[in-house]
Amino acid sequence: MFTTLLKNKEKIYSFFVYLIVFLSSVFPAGDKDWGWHYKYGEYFLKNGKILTSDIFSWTMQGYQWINHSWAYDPLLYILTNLTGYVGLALIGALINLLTFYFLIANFKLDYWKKAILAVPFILISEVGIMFGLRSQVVSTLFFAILMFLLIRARTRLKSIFFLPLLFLIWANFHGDFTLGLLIVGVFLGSYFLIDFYKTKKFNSQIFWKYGLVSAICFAVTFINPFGYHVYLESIRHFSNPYLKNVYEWMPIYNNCSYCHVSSFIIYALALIACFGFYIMRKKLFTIPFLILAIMLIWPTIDTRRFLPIFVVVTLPFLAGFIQNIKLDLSKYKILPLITIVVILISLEFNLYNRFTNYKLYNFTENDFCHFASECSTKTIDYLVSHPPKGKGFTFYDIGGYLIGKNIPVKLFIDGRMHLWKDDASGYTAFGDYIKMYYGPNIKLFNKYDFDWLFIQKSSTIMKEIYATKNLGRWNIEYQDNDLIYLTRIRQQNQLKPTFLKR
Amino acid sequence: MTTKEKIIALIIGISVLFLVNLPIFYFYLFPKDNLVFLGRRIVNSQDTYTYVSFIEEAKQGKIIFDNLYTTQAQIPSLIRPSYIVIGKFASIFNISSTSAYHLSRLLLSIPLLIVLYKFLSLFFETSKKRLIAFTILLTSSGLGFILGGLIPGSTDLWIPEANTFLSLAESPHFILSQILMIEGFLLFLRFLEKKKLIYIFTSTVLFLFLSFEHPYNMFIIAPIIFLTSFFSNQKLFKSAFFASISSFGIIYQIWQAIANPILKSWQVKLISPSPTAYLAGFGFLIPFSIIGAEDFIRQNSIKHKFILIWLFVTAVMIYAPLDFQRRMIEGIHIPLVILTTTGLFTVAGRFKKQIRLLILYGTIFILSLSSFYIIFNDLNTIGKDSSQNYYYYISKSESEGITWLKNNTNESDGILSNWFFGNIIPGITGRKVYLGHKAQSGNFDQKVELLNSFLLNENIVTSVEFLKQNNINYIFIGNFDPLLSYGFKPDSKPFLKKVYSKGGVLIYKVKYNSP
Repeated sequence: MFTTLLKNKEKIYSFFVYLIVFLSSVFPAGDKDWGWHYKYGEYFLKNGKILTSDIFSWTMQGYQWINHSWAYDPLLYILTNLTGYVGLALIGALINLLTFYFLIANFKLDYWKKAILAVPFILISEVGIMFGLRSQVVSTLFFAILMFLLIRARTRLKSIFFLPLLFLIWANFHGDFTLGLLIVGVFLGSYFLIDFYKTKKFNSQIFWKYGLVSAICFAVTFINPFGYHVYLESIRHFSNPYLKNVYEWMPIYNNCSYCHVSSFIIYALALIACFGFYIMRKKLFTIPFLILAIMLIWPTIDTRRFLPIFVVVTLPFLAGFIQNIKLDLSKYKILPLITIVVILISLEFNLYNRFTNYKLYNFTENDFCHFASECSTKTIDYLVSHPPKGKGFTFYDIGGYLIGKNIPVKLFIDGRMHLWKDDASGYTAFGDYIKMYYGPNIKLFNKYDFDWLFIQKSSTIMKEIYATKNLGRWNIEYQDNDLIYLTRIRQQNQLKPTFLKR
Repeated sequence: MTTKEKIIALIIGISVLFLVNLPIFYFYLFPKDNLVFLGRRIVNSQDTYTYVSFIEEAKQGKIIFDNLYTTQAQIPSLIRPSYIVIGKFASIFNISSTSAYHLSRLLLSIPLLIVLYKFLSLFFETSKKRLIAFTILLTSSGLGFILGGLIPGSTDLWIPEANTFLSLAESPHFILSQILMIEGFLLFLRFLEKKKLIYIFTSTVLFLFLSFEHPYNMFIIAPIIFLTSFFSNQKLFKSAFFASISSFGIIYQIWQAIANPILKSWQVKLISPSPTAYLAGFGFLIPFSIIGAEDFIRQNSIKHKFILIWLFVTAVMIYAPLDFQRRMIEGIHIPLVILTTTGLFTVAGRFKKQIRLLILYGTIFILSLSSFYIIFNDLNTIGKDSSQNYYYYISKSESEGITWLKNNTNESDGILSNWFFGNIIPGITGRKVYLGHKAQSGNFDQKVELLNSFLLNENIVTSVEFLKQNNINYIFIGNFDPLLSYGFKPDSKPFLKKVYSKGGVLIYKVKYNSP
């Protein structure tokens, strides 16, 4: 048996590399948007149609929303009911593992080379996977499959014929497919030009194949319930001045411990070194990777949600570089000992330190509430048993959870609404929310004349309420460590002013 | 070993000890006006007065110690031989517990340096290698000084037992535990070589003693002894036997931790930081030690295997599923440096003489930068005249007030203060405090909330009930004390009597029989 193990040690060590990538990708489920995804999924499965107009907020009731991740919602609904929150955490990790697998699947790598590539992957992809399963995690897998197919196409052209199918699915799962189309263009365009440069011949057959596949990929993205509107929804991201108030749209250097900025810098430097190495040797296959790295580097620094995408797009390039390193480590006797130590430490660190810290062995509803929205189930129970009356102002991050838990009240704002804008009046609830919550814009706040508030205790608005009477007089109905629920104290003869929405 | 080598080793040792102790000496010798230096530094400062309190208890005649950081009723159960001895000496020579703490630390550093040199001599045949290994051992650290901002929690900046330089600046029992561990290992290795039972017996006695000083070490020592015995062709049963007898003293500690509720509540989680924090904390020691390990694994001697086993066991144990896993790191710096020195000579050996010397001395310098940074940081931070650094000083009037408490209260009296004073009062007075240490006060956060409620409470009955339930007899209020910040007016409380008022410092006695 020992001899068999020794013979298969490469496979065994590789297995542990994948296992460690999987374990390191396990984070407690805590998607702030879980609730509305869940309810949209439920609505679809029960009614057989997509919920297109808003029924959860009172500020933009009836708004016609382009839910670009509509196909993800019923999947999430089923998975939540089948596996619970721990299941969502594990499925998210499994998808991240698959992402890693697809990124390196085209290369022949020893286990230690896989391990080297796993380190930046684990660290830099944390931004995406840190809340367990999310639509973005699925989308990152699609990016990895795309990279796998495009790189494979260099040796097996038939691979590109799978691209339309990928885009058909992707366009219904997440709006990031638009970036995917750009990657297809860069890769196939580069391949064609490289071949042209090398052979000095215009290969019309290849030209048409590449062109046709690209065109079909583009065309199939319109096969979705919203048609071309999914593109318009993507474009809205570029024109929204308030987006930088959402965590995942903030820069990586802005107070972000999970962005692993130092690892990103080291990774970027390694990439530059490898690009330099190949450019000096005039290796033309570098071109599409170089173009994409240059295109994505600033968006990644400026917007942390691009970190996983950046690593997915560039890691195969590093994998190719590492594949070509000729280093016979088998002559070093210390290597097996170091390998065993690294494996043991990684297993222990994940299974004990991380998982215990994340309470994964005994994950409760309260843990989900806490990890997702810094709430506690006691407060939520209170809201269910004492439903707020009138129009309330709610904390953005808690909206998704409240929707998911059927809290019998309509909200001011939630995670769907950061791009919503009434075309006729220009009204945006998110814009007003930012002005009031972070300002706080007292005039605007008083204009709304809220009946109740459900906000963070540490928020600027709450500090203002504590310190002054500028925002009215309020009664504390319920509070936990982080959140507070207040109702307005009105004098009996005080008439409620008419709310001026716009 | 030649006289020249001894003199150089002595100079290296004295220089390092001087550097390590420079901040403490400096601030004792040059105190700020009207302030009393508390004798603690940045790293591990919360714990300093815990150990000073043991010395104070021993000075006051105790052999088995109380946990002075809680006023809960308790049976004395802490046995700390080193602090009993230090306390007795402090009592005989009539020196303060804080001075005894630093003096004993300094005195214990000398045998530690000797034992370390002896241990290094096992592995390095030439005096040059021994001296270089000794220098690296005493000065080397990680990359925290440069990566501290990027990698949170670099261990070379905050875990004193993770490297020898910081250990020398730490509490006496840390130093003593390393002496016992190294000497125990030396005797154990000698036993494996000479097969004389006296060696294993002496080694066992040292480990038994160690299990009272720093019980956590036994979780490392037992597997190291077992594996080393096993790999030196001892039978499995014999190996297990050696490991078991060596860790005998741990049974008492485990029983205490389970049976004693005060100790149980003391069981604070000491979880290891992330692997990247360790990697940054050991910095360049790691690549060099890998090169050295390759050399060691090719040697067929038991002492070489022993070093690799030590590293292997520690590396695995620092993430073992135990709540005190971080404690397992103590001593790892020693095998790491032995391998680093070997690796360094292997690398340097490939170059011509002048470059070789540059590599050797340049590496020593780079490896020691984080240690220099720690000293600079101590001098800079403690020396700053800002309210933030008030943490390292108290005013003279506060010092006098605390001394009043020592002279005018009984051993059974409990004292309430804000937690800053609560941390130092036990060390100076030997009295119990309600709140003073995040781990040892037990349920710290809950106690803070209860204290806040007491301060805001206008109800006399429930206020007295709180004080009575917690065996509190005195309330200590220092200059600009936060206890008074939120409207607490002790003078208006009928159950409090002002017994001391000088230089802004107030002490109240609780009147339990007041109407």
